Amino acid sequence: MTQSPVKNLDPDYKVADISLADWGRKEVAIAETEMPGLMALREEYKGKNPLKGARIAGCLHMTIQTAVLMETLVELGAEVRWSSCNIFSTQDQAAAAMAAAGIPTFAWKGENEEEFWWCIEQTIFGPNNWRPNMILDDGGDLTQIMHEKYPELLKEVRGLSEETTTGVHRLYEMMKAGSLKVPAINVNDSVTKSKFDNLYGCRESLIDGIKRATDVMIAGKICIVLGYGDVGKGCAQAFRGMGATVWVTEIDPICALQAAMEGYRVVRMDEVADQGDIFVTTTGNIKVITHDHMLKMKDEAIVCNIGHFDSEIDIAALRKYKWENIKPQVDHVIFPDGKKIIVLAEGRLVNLGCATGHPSFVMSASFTNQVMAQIELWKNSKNYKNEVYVLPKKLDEQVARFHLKKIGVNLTTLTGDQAKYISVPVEGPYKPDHYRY
Amino acid sequence: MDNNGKSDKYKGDVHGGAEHAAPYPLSRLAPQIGLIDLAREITQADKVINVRVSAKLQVLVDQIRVLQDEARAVLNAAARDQELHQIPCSFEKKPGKLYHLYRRADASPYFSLLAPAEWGTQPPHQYVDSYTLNGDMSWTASSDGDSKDDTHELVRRLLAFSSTEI
Repeated sequence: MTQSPVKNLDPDYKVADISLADWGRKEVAIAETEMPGLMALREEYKGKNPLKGARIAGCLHMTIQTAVLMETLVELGAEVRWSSCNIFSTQDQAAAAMAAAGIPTFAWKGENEEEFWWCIEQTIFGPNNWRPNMILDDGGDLTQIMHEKYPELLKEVRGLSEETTTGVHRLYEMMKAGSLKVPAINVNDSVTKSKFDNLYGCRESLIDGIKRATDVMIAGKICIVLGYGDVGKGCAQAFRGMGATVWVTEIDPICALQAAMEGYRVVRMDEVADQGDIFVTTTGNIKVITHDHMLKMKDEAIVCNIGHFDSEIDIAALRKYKWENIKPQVDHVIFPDGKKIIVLAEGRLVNLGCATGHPSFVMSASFTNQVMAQIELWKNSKNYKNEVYVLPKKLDEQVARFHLKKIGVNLTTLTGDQAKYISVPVEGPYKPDHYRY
Repeated sequence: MDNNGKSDKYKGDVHGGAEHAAPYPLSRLAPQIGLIDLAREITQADKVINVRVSAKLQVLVDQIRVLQDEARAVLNAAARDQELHQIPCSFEKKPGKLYHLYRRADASPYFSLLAPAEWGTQPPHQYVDSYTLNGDMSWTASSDGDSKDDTHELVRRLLAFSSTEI
């Protein structure tokens, strides 16, 4: 057995302030009413404990919504240890509520790099030789440390589920390189995840982050969205909804054409850096906003990122200038000529750094996929090779079905004739796997 | 009124006899009464007053010194507190909580929630000291030992007590 590199704490958690637990609990109770998918799973598996014996190490933004996910996993019989996959995204009251409920949680808003890895290691090595046999990851950091630093622990691990585009991208690369050691389910590409969380989630939380950080008037501004994938589409729509002029940058002709068809001007960053008022990166790539772009920008231009990693804006290049902290996660960067730009969350996820992430309802769809993936891998890991899978369409549809009642959706049922006419079962799945929604 | 035109009123008060027999000097050249006595008396008084004043002044001087020292201590403490507040720290600091100060290899300091022992093997950077944030946003260093401020804890307990009473 791998010797634990960490010292377990007593009590077995580390949060910013455990006295926030009561407040966190109240918010969790509200979130539960907005997360019908997770609550339906609790109801469906009541007393059946489908995750009994599962020891899940989780690494996902420690928010109120995640708390509902964690408690769902516990109600389904799993043992859970948790850390946050981003140093700024933890809601301290959520972490406190989880710690108080006896779930070992290692997360606080404003960790540094070393503390971040310490927190992850705490979720891998628990007291009494607790080691995970399941992984639930967002962004792939936990997956990476398990593969690179503690590969021998992966023998015990039956599978992992990955939440986001960036992590999934890493998984496919590992699969291609043959270095993936466990079966993985790509939760991100469930339709009820990427077409909801990434799109409708960002559509609400982007504006929330920018407003809480700056209170800037968005109407009338020129807002530049870099990347027009699911996230970019949501961001562009949000800005337009507020009355801004929206420009988009793209490298993919299909997405560029989509943006143009929606009425957005598709531009190049080099040409418009000096014209935009608000810039948001959604690409998942590196150095999309460069030092030279920022040098050209207007005074008081706002620069932020809503992609998973902080690599999209060249923050490192700005370090040589003077930084003036206005409030946590909001900084003025002052250029030698006196021009200032406002950088939000130091280029990390603005919706989680400056606001509280996506609303519960949309996260319920994502997390219901997560729980289904965990159950599937825990029970049937033998059916899977060390590759990346997506959940079957039937389950994807089930996730959507769980969420209809709450918002009063009245679904029409196919008649037998109709089902036969389009050759699908009456109860679904309704679309072929290649259907793009 | 007698024949010399002197008023009865001054009888007894005013010497009516010969000048040389007057009980008080009448000439401006006459020596002062009890000059030596008076001088001694004054010297004595001066001394006493000086002693008293200097005693009082001494107290004041002492007090000034103490106040000066205290002012210096307050200013030093304020400067240190301010310095500690300016150390990079991205989490929200709360009164009553203990935070741990480390110094990176490039000498830049940072606050951490993790105590040296909690890191497991050893802290990633050099440990400096641990500080408790007090209710008035001042800091108490753990290395100060006895001076640890437990006001916050006391206030918390009193509040908890009073809320259960009500």
